[in-house]
Amino acid sequence: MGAFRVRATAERIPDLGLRCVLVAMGGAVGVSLRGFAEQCFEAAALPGWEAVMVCNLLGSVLIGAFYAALDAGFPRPVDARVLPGDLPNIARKRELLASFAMTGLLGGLTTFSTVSLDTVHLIEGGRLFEAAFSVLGSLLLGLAGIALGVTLQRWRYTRHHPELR
Amino acid sequence: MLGYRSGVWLLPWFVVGGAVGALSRFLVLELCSRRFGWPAWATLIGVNVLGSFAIGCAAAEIASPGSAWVARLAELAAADPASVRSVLSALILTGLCGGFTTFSSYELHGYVLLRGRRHQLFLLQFLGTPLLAFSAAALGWGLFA
Repeated sequence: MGAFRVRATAERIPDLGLRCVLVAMGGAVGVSLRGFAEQCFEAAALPGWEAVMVCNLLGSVLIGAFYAALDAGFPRPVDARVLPGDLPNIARKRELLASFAMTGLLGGLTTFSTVSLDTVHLIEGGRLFEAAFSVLGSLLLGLAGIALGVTLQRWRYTRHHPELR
Repeated sequence: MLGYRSGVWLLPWFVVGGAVGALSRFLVLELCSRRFGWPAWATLIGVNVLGSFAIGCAAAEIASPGSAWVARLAELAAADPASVRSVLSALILTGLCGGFTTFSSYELHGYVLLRGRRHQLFLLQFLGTPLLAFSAAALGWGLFA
């Protein structure tokens, strides 16, 4: 009965299989990039939480830009730039791109669990200043990063469309 | 991570862990949204807290010198425990838990709640997630250390 309900729910989700593939591909690429960044920081004898913080902040700026580009409720003149034949599919294409880029790639590039673990380690090791800087810096700069990404993308859209400002 | 051996040879483990982790997060978010109608920001609190608890448990188990799991895997794969530790770290810590949890969507949900002037929900989400997640990671680490 429970399995039947899950299946009935799954059948109502459009493009579920394709989006699963896109999310998995994006997640693989994003996590590999973060793993590479962690190894680079380790080779440079820098602490691991700095690599995670850089990845998280970069991912926040990028997801802000993608949100402004893809979210259904965001005002943008992008429909004027696509071919008329594309218009019926534009919502679906945005959904697929959001699955790959936002859920997969940026979701894999950024992480919360490693921040938690690093913070626990830093506090346990008595490095309270680094822990506070890592946490507060990530949270507040991340919010600023989202705003920066949204602003940049909005500027890109409104450059030639002053009526949308 | 945590001073384990590193190198390009860990790439397949990052790929597998990241793909599975991101896919699980996507499915949890979609099913909770369609089946129960939970907003994504609320589901993501649970996802991040669960992933943080899991990484606390896994990191403590991998790091503990007398871990029976690491010893058994090293025996099965005929490899030395240090290599097994770095593979497990890449697959489970960086890949699986790191791909399952996300920071960018958490910040984006906070931004959207803040811009929508839902200040109480914003405070709940923005402060509640780190508090719960850090406690969960500390709990997991304490349970298995």
